[in-house]
Amino acid sequence: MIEAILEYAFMRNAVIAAVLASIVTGIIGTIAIEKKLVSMSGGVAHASFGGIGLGYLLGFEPIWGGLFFAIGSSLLISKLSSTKKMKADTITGVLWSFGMALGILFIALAPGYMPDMTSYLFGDILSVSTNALLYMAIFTAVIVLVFTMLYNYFIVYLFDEEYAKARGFKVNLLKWIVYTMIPIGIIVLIKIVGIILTIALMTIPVSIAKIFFKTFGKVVVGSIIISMIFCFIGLTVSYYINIPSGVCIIIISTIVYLLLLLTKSAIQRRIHVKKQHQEDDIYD
Amino acid sequence: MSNKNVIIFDDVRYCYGEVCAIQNVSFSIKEKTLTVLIGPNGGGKSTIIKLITGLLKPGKGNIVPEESAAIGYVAQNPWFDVTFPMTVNDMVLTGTLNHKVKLYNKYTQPQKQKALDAIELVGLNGFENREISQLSGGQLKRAVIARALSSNAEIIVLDEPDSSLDAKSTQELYEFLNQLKKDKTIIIASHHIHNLFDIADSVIYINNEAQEYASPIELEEKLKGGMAI
Repeated sequence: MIEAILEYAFMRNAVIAAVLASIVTGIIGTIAIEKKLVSMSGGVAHASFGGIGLGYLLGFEPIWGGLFFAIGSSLLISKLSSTKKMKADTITGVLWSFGMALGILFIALAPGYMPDMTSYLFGDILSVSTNALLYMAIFTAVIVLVFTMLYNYFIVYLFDEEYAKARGFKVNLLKWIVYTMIPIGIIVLIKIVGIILTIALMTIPVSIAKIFFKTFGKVVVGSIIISMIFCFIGLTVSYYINIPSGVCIIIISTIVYLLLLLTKSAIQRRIHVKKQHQEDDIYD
Repeated sequence: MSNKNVIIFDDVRYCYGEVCAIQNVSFSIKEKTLTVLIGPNGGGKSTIIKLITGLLKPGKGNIVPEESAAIGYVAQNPWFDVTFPMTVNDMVLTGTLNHKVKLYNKYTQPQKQKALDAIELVGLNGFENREISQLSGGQLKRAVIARALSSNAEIIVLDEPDSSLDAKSTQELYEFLNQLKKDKTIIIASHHIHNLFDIADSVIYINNEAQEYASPIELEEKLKGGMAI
């Protein structure tokens, strides 16, 4: 595997892409989980497909169309749900399907044969071009920069928005930043696991990190490391068995997560039983 | 106690749609006093608390101060998720954070000390590194109060602070707030006015409109006459 990384440019690109995607997963995934924006993120990821299709139709880089649609739908969800006339969940559902439908329509209208959209839908870490790597690096850098600049303010906002408002924090500004960072992060992840599997990569490493780490910062760093491990395992399996990388990453991470949950539950049960025995001994 | 008014409501009205929770409300609260807001359920206590903290803006009338940055707020039922990965110390530290954004902000040693002092004040020493998900309802309430106390806020607003505390903890909290009013202005919305008679400097009865009482004794006379709280 190491020989392949040293020998082939596409493998080196894949490794760098995995690192970038993992950094995004740690930051954006933790924000999305703690602010309960996971299904919104799913909607935004799917809505981006409309922009990708538009790129194919009009002949510009599809990922820019995807980014435009993702940010647009995210801000629209934020705006409409804040007026309380519509529930965020409902708008998310509408944009989720509408984005996918538009994407398919635009691709069908594009001249020539219909292109293979598998890499956008399910991701392909082995086909990350240097050009794609460049935009992934820029987007990741923006996310890291904003996150570290406003770290303590993000914690206040994500943890207790009402308190943040009462103390005079610029909650609306923080909200807009979060609703812009999430779609940017999603566009980075789409290259690795695709539109359909993005939510899984955003949530599973963070959920595993939350089992082991108990502070926000440690959960972010822990999820980055866990995501890297899964991405490298997925990359290796994908390279040797020749199956889509996104699928490998998600299946492996889901199995590990479920096993950890079962183990945690068994340990907790054992501790509970032990405590009960100790209490019984005291009363006897 | 000084004569300076730190909160002034001048003919304030707030309506939820067509239903007005409060109207024609005027009162003032003096610096470094402990004021209790009482009144029946649905009378508008929480609405006034939210207006004081800036979470709501008045439909009519004026409120001083207009900005809420100098106010530490302890909500009746905090909205936060207790599974948020955070220790008691992390949570109380957020109280020391200034609302004016400073990029790459790091907590200073005095801020960290202030958080530890606040934790000690509410009797949570030894729980600094405990995850908030492992606290009981009463302990969590204390942690929320510690967060408000660790701020530079001159005014501390507590909405039903005794709602999830046992009798002993409630008594301890009120004794502590009685001490704290030497330095800060305390406003408490509560149903349990009898617990507060000994420490309250003034009482405001709220039932859609507001009626100020200079002393709790004056209100006690009214309550004996059958007024509802």
